[in-house]
Amino acid sequence: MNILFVGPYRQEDEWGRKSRAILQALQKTDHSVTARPLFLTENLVYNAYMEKAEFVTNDEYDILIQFTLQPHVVYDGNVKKRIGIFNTETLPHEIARGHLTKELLMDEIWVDSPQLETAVYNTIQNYNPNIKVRAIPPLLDITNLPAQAGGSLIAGDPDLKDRFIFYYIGNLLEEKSGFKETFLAYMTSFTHKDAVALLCASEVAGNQNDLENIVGQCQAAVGNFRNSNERPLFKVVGGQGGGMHVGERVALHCDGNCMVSPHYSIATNSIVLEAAMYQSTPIVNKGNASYEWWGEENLWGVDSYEELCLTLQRPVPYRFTAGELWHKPIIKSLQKVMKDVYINKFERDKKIAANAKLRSDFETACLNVEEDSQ
Amino acid sequence: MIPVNNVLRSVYRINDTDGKFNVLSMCRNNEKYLGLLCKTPHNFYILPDHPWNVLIEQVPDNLSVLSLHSKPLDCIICYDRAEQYREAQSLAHRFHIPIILVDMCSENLIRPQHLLEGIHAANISLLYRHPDLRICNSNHIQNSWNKDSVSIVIPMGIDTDIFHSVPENEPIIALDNNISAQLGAEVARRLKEYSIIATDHDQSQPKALNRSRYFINTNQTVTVKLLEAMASENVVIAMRNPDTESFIDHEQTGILINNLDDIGPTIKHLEESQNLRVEISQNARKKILNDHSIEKFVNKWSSAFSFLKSNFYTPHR
Repeated sequence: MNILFVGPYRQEDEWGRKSRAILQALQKTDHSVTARPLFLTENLVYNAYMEKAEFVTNDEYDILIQFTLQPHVVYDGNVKKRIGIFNTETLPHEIARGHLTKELLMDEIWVDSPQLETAVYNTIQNYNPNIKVRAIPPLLDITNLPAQAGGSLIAGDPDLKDRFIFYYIGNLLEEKSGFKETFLAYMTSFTHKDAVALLCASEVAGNQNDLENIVGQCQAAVGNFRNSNERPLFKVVGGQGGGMHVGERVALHCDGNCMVSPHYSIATNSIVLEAAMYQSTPIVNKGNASYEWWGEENLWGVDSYEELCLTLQRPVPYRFTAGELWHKPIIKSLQKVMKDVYINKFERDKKIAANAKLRSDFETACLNVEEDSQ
Repeated sequence: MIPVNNVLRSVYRINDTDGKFNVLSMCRNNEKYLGLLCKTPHNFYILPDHPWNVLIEQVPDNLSVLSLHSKPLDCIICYDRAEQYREAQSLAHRFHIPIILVDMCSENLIRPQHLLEGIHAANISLLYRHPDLRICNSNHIQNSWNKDSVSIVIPMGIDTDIFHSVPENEPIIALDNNISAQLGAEVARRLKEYSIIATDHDQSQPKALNRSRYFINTNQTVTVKLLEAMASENVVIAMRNPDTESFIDHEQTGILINNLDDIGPTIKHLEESQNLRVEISQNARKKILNDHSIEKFVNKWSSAFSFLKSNFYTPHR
């Protein structure tokens, strides 16, 4: 079969990482895959790698896969089957038909987890029961992820010597990123006497003042729970010159002991998958897709609760509205898990052993596509 | 506008039996060149913000204003590194289409457009652009710029059936109709004893250039109108600079002057030397017939579009 894949695989962000992972998994099948890049952002870091799928040409295409935001999707009558991947991060709850017009143009929709598969299918089937929804397992492009880090972000820092390193990588200013919860749980779980540190790295270029404001707000929210000189060690690392590049990320995965990512999103996050591959046993919400696939064998699960998606940070109209649900972490549960991670070496070692198998899983993962047109 | 359509088009056009490209073109005083481009069998679109000026050229049948109902686009063409490229680049980004830059002049003359203008770029390297394809009007222009991107020389094409001499007894002097009043006055002040006419505003017959004996090139560069004047056996009088020198052989195919004050004495001299004037005007037409046929222009542009068949948008351009 001839597959035409359109997605933002040349972007150096989560959309790009997921897009490359899917493209690679498609290329491991027997299908002929042609690819064209999309760009969803104005301020992008362009990944100029050589993509062989851009040189593949066919007279006709059987399947078109569009990995993009819903408003950009088009109906293509030249192909037998149209697949949409929208990086669905929330559970549909009460979405009006008018807001699903682009989904309804597809023959198949791919989502990150069985929970999302059920929720999206239940919503879509009211309008078109012929549209299939498929859960795809965690995929990761490991091309630029060496087995060993090329350097360290903490080697020269005596403050961090012999400490257990929790770390957080993400967009610190984004509400759904779970950074506030991470910081609050850490600050209330440990003291200066514990040999721990929380390192925080912003994935995107950000303003130092904004970060200081968030940290200040969190410390104020904690109240006079503990003297300021009794607080556990917290540091911001990496991202010199704006944003974190892949080398720094790998270094932090290798330097750290446990990545904390209680993101509200249901979808898998490539950085969490990376962290697990580097055996850093990530902490995630139990509602997250990666936990649904891998469970306690590979990850530490935090109890979370379904909440209406109420936010002012909305990337596209009609999405991330109160008609959807996301999973907010319970900070008390996150506290407990962080303490457990620090103390329970036996459990940690079991997860590290399970994490060690993931690289070969990612290497061989392939996504088979069936032609069954409507 | 949804760029995915244009992205899909970049895949499908390779096997498109129709063979027609859907080309978005900048249009800011580029009606003449775009009118020539519309002689290729492709579909051309211009932006609603920069409407077609019918005083310069009539709207070709295969040109329309870009709208939501337009076909998926294949590429965008711009004609000026200094003043259009950024906008074209931003449109290329918005529509996910490759960009073609048509170089109308050499590096030395990138900004001074007409005879009274003296602006030069402070840092010319800022104008070293990296389009997907560069089209140059001449080898001289091609060689003057950096060679980072693929380039093709396509001399402008002139319809010599439309532009041909219809001699008149009096020495009529033609001026480009698309010039400022100040520039027109400066030229006219030096040619009080002659009758001056403007080039045509529309498809009127006969063409003003067919009636005129001289054409004063009010631009510093070699323009479509200059070529039309040569086809009409006008003696073209142009300011001496690297671009005009590379195109006009002084006293062979035209006249090169050093400043505006040379215009009057030059025309007086030619009026007194009829043999020289006739020889120059006939050589000028021969040059256009040999090097600037519409057929060659159309064929070369077809090759240029073929080059882009498998090309698609990349944002680092």
